[in-house]
Amino acid sequence: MKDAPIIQMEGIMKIFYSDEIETYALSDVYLTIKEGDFVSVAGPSGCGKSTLLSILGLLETPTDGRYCLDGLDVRDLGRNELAYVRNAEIGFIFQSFNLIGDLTVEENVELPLAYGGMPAEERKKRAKEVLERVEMSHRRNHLPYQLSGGQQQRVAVARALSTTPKILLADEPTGNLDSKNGDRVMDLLKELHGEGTTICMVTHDSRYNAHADRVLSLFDGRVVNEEGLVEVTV
Amino acid sequence: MYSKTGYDKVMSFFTNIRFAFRLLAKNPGSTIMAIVVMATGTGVAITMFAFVNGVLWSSPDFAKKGTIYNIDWVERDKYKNSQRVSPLDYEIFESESEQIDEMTAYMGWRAPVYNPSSDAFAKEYNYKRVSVNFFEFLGEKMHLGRSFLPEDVSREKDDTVVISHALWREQYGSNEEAVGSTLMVGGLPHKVVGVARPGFRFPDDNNLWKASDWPEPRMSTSPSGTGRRHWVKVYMLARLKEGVTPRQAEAELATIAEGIANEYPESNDNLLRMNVEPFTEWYIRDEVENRAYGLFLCSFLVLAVACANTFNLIMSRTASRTSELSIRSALGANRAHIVGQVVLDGLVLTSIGALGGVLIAGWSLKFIWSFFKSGYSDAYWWHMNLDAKVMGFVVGLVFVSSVVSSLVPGLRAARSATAENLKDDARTSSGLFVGSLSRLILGFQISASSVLAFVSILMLAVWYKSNTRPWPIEPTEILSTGFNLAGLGEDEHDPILVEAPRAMKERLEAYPGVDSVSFTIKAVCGIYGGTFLPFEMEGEDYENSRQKPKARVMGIDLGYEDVFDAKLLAGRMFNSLDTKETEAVCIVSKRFVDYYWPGEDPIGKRIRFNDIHWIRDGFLTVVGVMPKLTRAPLGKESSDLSNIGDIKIYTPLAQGTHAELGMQLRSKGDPRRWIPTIRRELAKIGPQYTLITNTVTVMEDEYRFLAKENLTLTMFGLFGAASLVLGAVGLYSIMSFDTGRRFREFGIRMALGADSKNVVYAVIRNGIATLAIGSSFGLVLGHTLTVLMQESLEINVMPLGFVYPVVVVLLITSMGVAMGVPAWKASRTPPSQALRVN
Repeated sequence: MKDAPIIQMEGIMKIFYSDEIETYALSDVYLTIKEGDFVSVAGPSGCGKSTLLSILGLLETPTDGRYCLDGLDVRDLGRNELAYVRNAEIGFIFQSFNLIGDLTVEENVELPLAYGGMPAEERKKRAKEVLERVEMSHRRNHLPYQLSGGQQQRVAVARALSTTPKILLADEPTGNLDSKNGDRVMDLLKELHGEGTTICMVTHDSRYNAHADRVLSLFDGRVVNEEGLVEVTV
Repeated sequence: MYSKTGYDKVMSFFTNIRFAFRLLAKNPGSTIMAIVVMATGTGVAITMFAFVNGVLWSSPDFAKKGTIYNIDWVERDKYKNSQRVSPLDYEIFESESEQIDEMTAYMGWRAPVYNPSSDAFAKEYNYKRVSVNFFEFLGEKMHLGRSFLPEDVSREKDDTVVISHALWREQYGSNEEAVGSTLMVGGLPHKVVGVARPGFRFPDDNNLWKASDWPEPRMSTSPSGTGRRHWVKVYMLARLKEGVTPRQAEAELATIAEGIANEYPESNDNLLRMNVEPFTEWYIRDEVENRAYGLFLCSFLVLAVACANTFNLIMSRTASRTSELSIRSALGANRAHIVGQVVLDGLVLTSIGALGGVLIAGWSLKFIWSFFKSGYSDAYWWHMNLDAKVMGFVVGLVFVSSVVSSLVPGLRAARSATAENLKDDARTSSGLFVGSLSRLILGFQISASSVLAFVSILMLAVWYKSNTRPWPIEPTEILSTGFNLAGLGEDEHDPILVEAPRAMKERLEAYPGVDSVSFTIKAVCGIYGGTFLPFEMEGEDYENSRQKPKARVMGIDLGYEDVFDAKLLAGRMFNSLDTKETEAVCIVSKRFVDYYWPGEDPIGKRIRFNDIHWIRDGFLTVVGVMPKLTRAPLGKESSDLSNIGDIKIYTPLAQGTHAELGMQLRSKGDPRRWIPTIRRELAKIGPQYTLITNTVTVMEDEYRFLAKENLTLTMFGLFGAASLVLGAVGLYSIMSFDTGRRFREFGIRMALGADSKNVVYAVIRNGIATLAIGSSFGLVLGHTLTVLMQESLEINVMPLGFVYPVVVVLLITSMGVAMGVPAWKASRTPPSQALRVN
């Protein structure tokens, strides 16, 4: 259902404790992302972008506040329940691709499906589909180190898409790529968004904010500005 | 390029050493682990090397150089094989052999020694009768006085003795007037003619030497007239002529021996061959040698496991130093520098480990030595010192261990591409080092641990079974001692030899608390031992002595049944009516009846011994059947007679006795409290008589008897346990390192939806294959080795099937913990943290 909120954050706070120092990574963050949104999170280094994405992806738990993912309050979920939700609802794309070096392209893509309990035959079929979608099916038996950075990131996108997640979280997806490959990956994300995929992306590159519907600006762990695309000066 | 001076090189070396120490301090956890592992491995190896060096490889030092050989007369009938020969035969060997340069002979036991010029009680010492040329043969000079002269064996003169330096200090307070004084040895006066040099105790741990030309066989009145079957038999020692090999000497001696056997078939027809062996090798019995070398081998296996551990630890440390080593390389370090840096790291680690090993060895050697010396008298030249040879071994061990542990990691580090490493380290953790080689080494560790676990569990099981066998008697309530009444009465047939002990028994039993007292001859603790003798059954014809049945024979006296609570299975016990004047009688054991007269009534049957001076001549009538009084054997009941101590014949002391008496006293509570009383009562027979040194309870005596056995078994057990722990530590460290290296991967997996179970599986999947292959290989090897050991060590105690499940459970538990802990830790790490790991 279009316009239904997939993500709802209220008063999210994240404090890191090291020795006797408390670091406020996020303070009082309110955020709603609706189905089909493409949200870009911008801000200087250390402002809390990655922490926000980690909390959105259930990789990190907030110190305080309420977070509902697709209507489910995730505060009380256990470790394995979080893993289940992550597998079923969220797709990740990382800056450094994070493909597992010892697995082939196809096996990397199949991995989240295997965790979801999909039978092997179906997994193969689904992996083939998504690899075709990112034009990487011809390299399915290769190992990650045999691919270029752009190709590795496209495989990572395919892996993120394999479980048909409710939301795709991209952490600096073009950070380790040259501009040509970066553009290609962004075109892919744009295409996916065009097909209705919800995306939340962290990027340093202001050029790519243009692809998003909304740009969320963070500074010192606080949301300082949220603007519609049209109002953002690129 | 600059050329380095020696000073620069030394300074550079010290800089590298300092850096190596800094690295050790940087990773205290893995450093301590590596040091403990190496200390354990080297400690075990040093201990066993010191043992082998001090016992198997040491020899007595004599003024006259050259190898001294022991000569054995090996008999066909191994039960009868005493390795000694009649002095009459010794004289023939000495006069006829052309291959032998010189010979000497000795025989001995322990004897009570009483110094009439002192107030002290008599004390028992090791005592040898030796040929007149004994000291000359060894090239020994006396500390005081002289060695033996031919007239010392003259019947017209007093008996003479040479005493050890230790006995001189103890009995004479190092007074030089000891030479020429009279010492009561075995109840008879002996003139001290010399004091041996300090430390000399040859041929074992001896204190008294008496010159002898072995008159007894010549004076014997045996029916054969030759005296060759007289119980006096000697050990022969020889030096071979230059260029003569032991095999050549054996061949010549065998020819002479055959001649003797042909001439005196009645006594010597049992000859199989002559055996000429270096004395020190002969002295260490084969089984002791086999066990010691078996332990030595196992200790190296433990060391190899420790080295494998250190190898993997250094491999891991080197992997985490990829960036640092690459920077060194980028700054101009050549291959030798890189390898040297890594090897130095290993050298520092193993050196500190070896220091710990020396400490462990020092403690464990003390422990082993106390066990070792609690047995019977051992060679005086044995030691367990960390001498120069052992310390040389330690240095070699450190060098080899460090090279073995760190050379390969160093070479691999030097070979890897610098640019790639720098890039690799910048982005992800290094995967350069933990590959097939580490897995292979880990597989070896697991195999070696399995082998040692197998052997050690079996040994511990044997040890447990050996110590928990039920007793048919009360071993803690019975005190076992003995004394030698030599010199009491006219001869061995004098009735006083029976009357005096019986009077002593009456006096002792009058004390409230003493339950009963009894005397035995030829028995150990009253129940074990016995002289293995051939006998004849009435109505049977025997062509020669080899066809005769054999049994262990011991003499017992009144009260035996009370001391050992022996309820006869048939017939009657000896009583006061069994005397020299009445019918000669004997009692046989149940095992004897089962073996020789199955299904028959033994009572009334008659048996006979030939020419045994402490057994009455003529037929003895069986009057009773004795139950089994000893513990079950450790192995299965064997049909081999030599393994059966329970085929026994008991004869009454009143019908034939001996000056050397065993005595058993039973009382409620600790019977050792009666030792001073017994000593006082014995002194009433004569002040020159004393209790044997080995005055202990039956239980203690068995512990002493089994001390070396228990020591071997315990050491095998400890080695196995050490190896198992080291194996688990090795697996743990490699799994920890592997898990650490894959932390980011686990983060990715968790981000993709992997739950705790998936992560644990991902961690242990890599280890399981290695564990399965390594342990299977180890189990097969362990099984084979154990079967071989059972045969060579004559341990035949239980089916091996029992060991398999225990080993498998132990392996699974220890290795499971080693793998499970890092896996569990990985699964508990928050994924965002894992993803941040570089």
